[in-house]
Amino acid sequence: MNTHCLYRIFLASLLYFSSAPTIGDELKNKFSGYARVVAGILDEADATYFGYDDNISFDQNSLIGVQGQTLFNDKLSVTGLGLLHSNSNTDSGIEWLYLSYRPTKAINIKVGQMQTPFYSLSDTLDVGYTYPWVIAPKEVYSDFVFKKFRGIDLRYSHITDDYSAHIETYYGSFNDDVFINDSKLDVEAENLMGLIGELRIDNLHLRASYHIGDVSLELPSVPEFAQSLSLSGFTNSATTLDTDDKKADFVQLSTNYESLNYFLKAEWMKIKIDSDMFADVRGYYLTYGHYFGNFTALITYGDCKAKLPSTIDEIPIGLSPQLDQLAFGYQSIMNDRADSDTESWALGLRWDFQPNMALKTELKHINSHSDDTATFNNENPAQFDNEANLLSFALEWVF
Amino acid sequence: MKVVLRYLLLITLLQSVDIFTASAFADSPQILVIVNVNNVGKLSKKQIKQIYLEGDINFPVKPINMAAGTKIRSVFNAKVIGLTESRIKAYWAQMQFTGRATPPREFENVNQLLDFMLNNPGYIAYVPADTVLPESLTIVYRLNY
Repeated sequence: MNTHCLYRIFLASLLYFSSAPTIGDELKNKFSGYARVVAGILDEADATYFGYDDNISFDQNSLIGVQGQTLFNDKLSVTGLGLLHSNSNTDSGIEWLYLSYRPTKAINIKVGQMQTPFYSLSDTLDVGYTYPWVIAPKEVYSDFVFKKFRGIDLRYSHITDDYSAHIETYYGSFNDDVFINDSKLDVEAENLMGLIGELRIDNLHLRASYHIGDVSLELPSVPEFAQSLSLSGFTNSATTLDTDDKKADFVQLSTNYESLNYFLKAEWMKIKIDSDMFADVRGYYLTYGHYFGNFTALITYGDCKAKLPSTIDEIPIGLSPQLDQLAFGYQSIMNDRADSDTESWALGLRWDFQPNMALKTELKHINSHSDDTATFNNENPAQFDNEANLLSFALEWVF
Repeated sequence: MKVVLRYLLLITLLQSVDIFTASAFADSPQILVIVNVNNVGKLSKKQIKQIYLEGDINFPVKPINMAAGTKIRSVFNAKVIGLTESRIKAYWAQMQFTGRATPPREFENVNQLLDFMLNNPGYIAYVPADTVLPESLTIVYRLNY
């Protein structure tokens, strides 16, 4: 079924309704937005870390987003966000556009394109003003996880004098390019669904979520190679290269405690994709922050481990040059898979110098315990000791 | 000697009276939390905090704020909500950019706020204790700080 086509019709009708002059006095338009300028430099010539190298760069995470919202009445609104991103690996354009309907005050139904609510901050990962770090801990906020989806989302809130509880569920799909260490991958997720529970008691906030989906990744030239393995009778090896329509699941837990003097944040996640091509990833971070007037000092520890399934030895070596070539090809694909075992410490400072603006800086020490490919993009393995420091700055603005 | 003792006693008494009156009667700063609907009784601090963070889901009133940077707002944030100004700003940015809620309306001064409340039922606000309140507004909480 062509969901793209349906989506276009949906978009067109949204645009029509939001510009229709006949709605009358009830129609209210609101504009708001955010912007961030992020600069970073790595003290390492032989590797890059999420695009940062030993030259100062402003173009990895800087962006500006403008949100427009039209309220038709108390129950119905349409929200769209246009995003201009400085990173050429990230699409600029309409980031989200959805219709929001509130049949009661406690229920919010959204239909359209919106943020995938995987993490506690994935809704607002682009809005740097809402979190204390310059770059949200990569040990959890992996680039691999896609930011938006198309579908339907339902959120129910139960508010009492003592606590607030929210339950959210969604269903939809996603089709876009994802960048991992500068390589572009075409990712498709169908039957994407999730359940999120949030509880706030006074200043303690807890969140747990579970998400599943059928994920397909198009790896360049791998399917062709798998086919030649199959034709040569190595079907088991061919199967391990399959990345089409694989079950993926994602678990996330987080907590946040705020007081007038300090805060504590922790988040843990685990991703598993049912394919030998991908590692099982689990990561977490812990952050403690202390307020000194308009300044916040913070310290963060992060840890991420990505374990790869073991390879199989089906193809005999040394029998014929053709077989050797197949075996070599298979091993080189398997060796290209990304694993990681990373620890990091970061010290940060945030200064809320204006009501809607903040300046941040952060020094992060990243230590990789293996010559992995997921943490650092390593041009020169012999020269690189798997440790690096990233110094970053950000100017955050919400308007 | 007796005279001196009496004198000292008198001074001590006067001082204690002075302390007593200062703490109980004079200049004790207060914030009044007010609503412009009739069906809300007295509210607790917890209830007010819930309204200011979650909106009108559980109570029939929406919150309104004084402008950022005003002293009364800082005191209200610290004593009632229990969060810093920047955390509350961040919270509302998150609500706004996830389409869940919009931040409370803000007013530059008390007169503008009262004007708005007189014409738009369904709101809760906080004002200094010396504010002359129109009859249609009800005090639901008094904060001493």
